[in-house]
Parts: sequence; structure tokens; C-alpha cells
Amino acid sequence: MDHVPESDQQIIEEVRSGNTRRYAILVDRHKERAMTLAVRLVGNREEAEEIVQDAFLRAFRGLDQFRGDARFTTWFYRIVYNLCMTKMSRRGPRHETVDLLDEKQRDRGEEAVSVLERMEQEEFQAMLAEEVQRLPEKLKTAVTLFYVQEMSYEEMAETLDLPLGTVKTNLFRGRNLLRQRMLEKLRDEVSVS
Amino acid sequence: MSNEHCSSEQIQALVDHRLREPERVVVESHLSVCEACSKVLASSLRLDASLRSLPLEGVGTEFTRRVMLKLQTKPKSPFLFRVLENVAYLFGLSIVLAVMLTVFLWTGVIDSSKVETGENAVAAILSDAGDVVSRGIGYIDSVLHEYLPFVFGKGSVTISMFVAVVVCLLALTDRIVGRWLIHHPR
Repeated sequence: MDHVPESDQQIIEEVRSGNTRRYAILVDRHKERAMTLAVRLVGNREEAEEIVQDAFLRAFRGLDQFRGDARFTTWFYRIVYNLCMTKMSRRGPRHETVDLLDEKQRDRGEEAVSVLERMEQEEFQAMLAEEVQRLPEKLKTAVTLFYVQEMSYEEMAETLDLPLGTVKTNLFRGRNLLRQRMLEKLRDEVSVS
Repeated sequence: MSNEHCSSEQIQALVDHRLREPERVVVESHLSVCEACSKVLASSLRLDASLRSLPLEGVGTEFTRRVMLKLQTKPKSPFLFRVLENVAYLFGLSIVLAVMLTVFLWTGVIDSSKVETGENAVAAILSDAGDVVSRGIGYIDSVLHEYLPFVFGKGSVTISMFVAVVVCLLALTDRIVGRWLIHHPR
């Protein structure tokens, strides 16, 4: 018989009823995605690890307040996100360059596609990971929550406490900026070679 | 639509499976005849797939162990709550001691004539200390009477009750704010 893994909600109920050791399953289940989000946001693995650890402790101590009408991850990543923002706000203001896309530049994409298709997947992904890291904070958060945390638009809006439209716009701009920067990078590589 | 190109938003919504029925049919039929838009769709799909398959940050099992170890340490309660907790313990302890003393006196385990002498001695000490405390309370009482006569018209019993209520409210606020800060650390 297939073993069906317990849902987060079931584990939370067990932890609430006193079986705190079961919390380790939740930690194991979500630590990598939480760490990926934190590393992307704070850009430093040591700090990210500290943040994720703190987030798991806070989530455990606040489990009584988790109502269960949203996914555990939505609630938990909100804690991670808030801690990352607190950490970053202590570093002082950031100077990000948001090179917004000109409407006319929205690629019809033929050039992009032909270059992208020639690239090796591994090389492409390494380059993409680097570019995600370089995105402005809001766009990076949207892209990471959508692709790494696999959240819906609605869950992202709840996690970030932003209107749905803003979340959609940030995600859209993030992806377009990524595509544009990837294309520029590829052009540079082609011209060098 | 068939002559107009799809917008980037429409293509992205199609990739995300968020394009609703009438619009989706129109966009799909345009894509079937427009090579330029099909290429944009292909590039969007590739970017989408690549973003989904970006590797996650690896975290060892040691991490989980460390978190679980930290969970075993009792979290620090807010300051006033800890004070109240200790007062509650002391209050409970003094009740237990008083009951035990009464039982011992009643059953004759303790010689009540000697206890009488001891009580007198303690009473003398308490009387001296009480004088100092009474003067302090008397001063506070007179100040409060002067400035807040509508609250403190009934004397020091009211003061005690007022102080107790304020302490309880502060402890409660401390507790609520402490809880809130856990979940809103910004």
C-alpha cells in the first residue's frame, strides 16, 4: 500500500497536541525552499541560515495562532520574508537600478529565442540563477515566491501583504527584466566569441 | 486579434494557466497562425521551465537537529509576565505554608504557647516596618486624593485595587505585544 505523506496541517495538529518532535518533519520539508528564499533576499548564506532557523522557532512558538485557513507555507514564508526585510533594513538603504522595460522593447522575441535555444541548459540555468539574484528586491521576491515556493498569485499577495495587482505586476516585470538581461548577456557572449 | 500580435501579458497569463476562457481561445487561435508570437510563447515557456528547475539551496540534516534542540529551550516570556508568574508562585507558596502552620498548630505538633511569643516578636518587627510603609502609602494617598479625587475618594483600598488593575493591564499588554512582535518582526 502506498504511504501517503501527512499534510502540514495534520503534523501541526500533532505538534499542538504535545508531540513536538513531529515538528522536525515540517522543518525537513520546508527548510530548503525557505533557505532558497532567504539566500535570494539577503544574498548571504550565513545570514539566511540564521534567519530560517529563527523563523522555524518563531513559527513553532506561534503555532497556536496559526488558524489553518491558509496553507502553513503561506504563513511561514511570511515570517521568513519579514525577518529578511528586517535584516535588510538594518543594512541601510539600497540603491537598486530598476531598468524598467520600455513598452516597445517587449520582445517579439525572435532574436532571444534563437540565442536561448542554442544554449546548453546547465549553462543557461547558472546564468539565470545569477540574474535572479541581481533583480531588484520586489521583483526578486515575486519571482522567488512564484517559482521556488510555488505560490499562487493570491498566496503571494497574502504573504507579502500586497494587492493582487501589484503582485502580478511585480512578477510580470521580474520575468521581463530577466528575459531582457539574459538576452543582453547572451549577446555579449556571442560578440566576445 | 488574428492580425494583432498578442501582448506580453496575455502570453504570460497563458503560460501561468491564468487566461480565462473567451480570451484564451482568441489568443490560442492567433498563436496557431502567428510565428512571431509562437516564438515569444516558446521563449516564455523555456524561461518558465528554467526558473522552476533552478536548484534549491541545500541544507543538511544538522540544521533540523539544531532547530529541534533550540525548541527544547523555553522561550523567554515578557518581563512583566515573568514578574506576575513569580508573584503567583509566591502567593501559592504562602497559602500552602499558612495551611500547614494552621494544621500543625491545631494538631499540637507545634507548641502554641511558644508560637504566641514568636508571633509577638514578629509583630513588633512588622509594626516598625509597617510604620514606614504606612507613611509612604499615606503620602501617595494624599497626592492621589488631591489630583484624582474622583477615583481615590475611598482611600488606600481603592489605590491597591487600582494598582493591581494597572499591573494586570500592563502584563496583558506586554503579553499581547510580545506575541504580536513574534509574528510581525518588522
